[in-house]
Amino acid sequence: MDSATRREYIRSTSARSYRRRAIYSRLYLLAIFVALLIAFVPLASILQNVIGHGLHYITWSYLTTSQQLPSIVSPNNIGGIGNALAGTAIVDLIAVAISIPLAILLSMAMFELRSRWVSAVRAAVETFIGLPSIVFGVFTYVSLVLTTHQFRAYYGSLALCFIMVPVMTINALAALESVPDTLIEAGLSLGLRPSRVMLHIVLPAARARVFTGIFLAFSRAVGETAPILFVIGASQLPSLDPGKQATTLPSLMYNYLTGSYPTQRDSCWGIALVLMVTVLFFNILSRIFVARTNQQ
Amino acid sequence: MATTQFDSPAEHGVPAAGRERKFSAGSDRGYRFTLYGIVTVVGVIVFYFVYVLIKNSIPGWRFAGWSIFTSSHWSFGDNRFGVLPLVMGTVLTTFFALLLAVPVGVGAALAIVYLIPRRLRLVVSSFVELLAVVPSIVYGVWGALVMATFLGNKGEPWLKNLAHGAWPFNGATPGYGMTLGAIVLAVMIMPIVTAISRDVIVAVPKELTEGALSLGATRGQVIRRVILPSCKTGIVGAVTLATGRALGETIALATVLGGVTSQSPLPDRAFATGSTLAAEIAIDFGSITGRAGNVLFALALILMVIVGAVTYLARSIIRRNQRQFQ
Amino acid sequence: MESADTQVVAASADVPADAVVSLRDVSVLFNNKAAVRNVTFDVAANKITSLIGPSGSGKTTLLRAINRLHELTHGATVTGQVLLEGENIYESSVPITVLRSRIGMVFQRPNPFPTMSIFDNVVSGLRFIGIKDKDFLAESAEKALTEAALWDSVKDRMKAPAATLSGGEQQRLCIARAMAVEPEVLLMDEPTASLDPVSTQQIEELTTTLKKFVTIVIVTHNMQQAHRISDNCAFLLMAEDRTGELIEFDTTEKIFNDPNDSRTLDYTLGRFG
Repeated sequence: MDSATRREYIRSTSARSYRRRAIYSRLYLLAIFVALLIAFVPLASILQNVIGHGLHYITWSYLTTSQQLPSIVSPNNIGGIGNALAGTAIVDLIAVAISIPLAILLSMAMFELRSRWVSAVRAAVETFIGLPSIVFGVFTYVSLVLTTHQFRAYYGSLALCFIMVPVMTINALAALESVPDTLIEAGLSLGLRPSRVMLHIVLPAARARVFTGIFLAFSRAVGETAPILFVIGASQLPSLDPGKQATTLPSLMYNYLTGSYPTQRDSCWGIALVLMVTVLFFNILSRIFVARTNQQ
Repeated sequence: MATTQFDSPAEHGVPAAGRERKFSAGSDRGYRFTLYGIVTVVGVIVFYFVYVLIKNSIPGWRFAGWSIFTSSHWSFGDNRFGVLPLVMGTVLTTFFALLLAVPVGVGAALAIVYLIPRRLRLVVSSFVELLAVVPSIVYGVWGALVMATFLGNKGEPWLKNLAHGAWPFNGATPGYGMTLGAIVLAVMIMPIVTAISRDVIVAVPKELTEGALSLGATRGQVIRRVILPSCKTGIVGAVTLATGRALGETIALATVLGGVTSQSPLPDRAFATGSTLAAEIAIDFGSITGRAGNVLFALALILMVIVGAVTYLARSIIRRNQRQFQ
Repeated sequence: MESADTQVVAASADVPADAVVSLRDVSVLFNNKAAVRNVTFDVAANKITSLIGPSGSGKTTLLRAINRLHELTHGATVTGQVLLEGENIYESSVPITVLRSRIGMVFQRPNPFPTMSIFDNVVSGLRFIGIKDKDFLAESAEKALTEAALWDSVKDRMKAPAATLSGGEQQRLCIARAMAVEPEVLLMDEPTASLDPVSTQQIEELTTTLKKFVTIVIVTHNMQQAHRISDNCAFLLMAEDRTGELIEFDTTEKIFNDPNDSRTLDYTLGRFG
């Protein structure tokens, strides 16, 4: 085929195939648009149900009074969620108090030390992130509850640490590694000891991203049910004593949902609303810190 | 926007050269000691974790015997421990959840990058990623109280009608069960797929799109023939993470799957009830002290092996793909 | 944005016979701020026309207006007329994909499709159009790669991934890819900017042989390159309001030896850049 014929062939094929290609392209773009719409539907449904069914539960008394067991005579008297709020606070705050220093120290160790042992621990931590949270509940149950024959709130905190520490550590490590080497070298050449360099230069520079990891892990832990369900027992009292049993918002929801009282089941929406607001709050905080990181 | 919970530090390129030199000087012993100490403590905890898991599962293996693998009858209360229904449940719910979530997730990611104006992109993708923030228990509530009735009254009968009662859409349509589980699972993992895919798609250099367009390609051709193939590795990574999540989901499935029952000993049709390895552990947790309870540890081990194998397999696929381009 | 002569020019009236591409009063605006304005010149067939000028003068912006690439950018508008063989491509009834395959483009950084082999890359344009005939594709690949002076190097590894080629080879692959659809015009946006001197020279030589087959418009910030290879030259400069303008358009000889405008002289003598 000579050049002119080739050109003619190409042009005419192009013109002939245009209609088919244009239709195909439009269909393709339509398909991905539909995919996006489909992606919205479940979220819209969840939000609509949680807000629609849950909003009317939110009263001051609901939030402050504790749960009460309904009886045959007064099946609608289920009380509020005050005990669960207290339980959530104590279990999660203790978990955070343990997790943050542990995670930061661990990330510092992974950042500074280079040995096979450290790499092995790092691989283990990265694996833990992907593990189903129920196995941490199982572990905590066997090592703490069975040995002491007690349910305690802080057992739940410890179980949550298994979930929070890996997430915080990996994020903190990424934060530390994103600090430019030049900053570190500058500090060292000034004669500062490595610990001082870390404390006064690297950590402050990595601050925003470390916070991202912390809030992210926390928002995930607040919503966790499986690991704490069987180690904290249950408590209808709004106590803040970590040594006693406790109920958290997720554990209360699970018990209500699998229980036999329809009034309890329905009030799950109210609990869900409170839980989602809390989780969303910390998640949004973590995104604010992501934005701050990107600004730097 | 970075999906930081899925980042691996190895992907952040700042080299560690300066840090190696630091400690060869042997300075700052107290610091080094503390750090090594922390790592050792954590290492010990990890070992103890694995030890407890294995130690407590051994009586379970002994108690149940090989019937765990040979029997297809699971009934915890009657000491019947054939895991086949659970393994089937795990594999089927995850598989169909992926089947639903991956096309929708990748499609949505493509739409976010190529159809949504840049100003709105952040808002729209945050909205979709919001699904990832919803706690599992809330999914359980939504699944049990909303979707179950919808499926039982409308969804499943419609499917059954469509198939004229043929397998797998035959039998009772209770709402609860495997179909509901797959759908709830799909909704839970879809935002993972979307978020990571979107990051990967956005990272494709603009010049590839421009090059393809300047050759006379249509937009659809550009996405299908140029963009998506370049994103293959990243999307496989996203699917792996989604799979890991799906395999381990406990609470949401525990509340919507309906359990392995005598009417439904095996999940052999779409509307059957059933259970998964993870959900079953939660459901039977109450009896964890007895010998039977140790069997649950065995389940946990099997689950961890499956999750580990899937993750490893996908990581090696990703590594092989990367080598191809170097 | 002011515009001195905005009368609509009848397409065929003032287009010289041998002009393949003609620009009439072309301006490109981003969010209503002009990046380049009121550019008018003709691109002669089978000649190399270079767009030169300091950075920011709008050369690349102008080049991209010729194959309507600005449609990818939000807020970009193109006014004026860009005529391809007498027909305004912005108002043509011919679909944009067909038009674009008549105008090939080579970019600053080589951009072969990374997931495709060398062969698949070269024929990708033909495949987009829908040509499947294996013999035709093989023939086209050989022809295009020969034109791009790459055939001998790659003929035994056509199935190898495109990423295994060196930078200079990748750029020649991109040239081959563009040539495979037999365009009438080839736009080149600083094609040697990211290449080493040896590859640069090879591509310059290649370009001078290519003009047998296509008309070439090349943007370069290297005026020695423009002097070496181009037949005609358009000199653009950024005005005080940060908008690029066409200062002078003439043969390369004239631009470099005896320009009309003192600013052109200053630029070619390297007084600013």
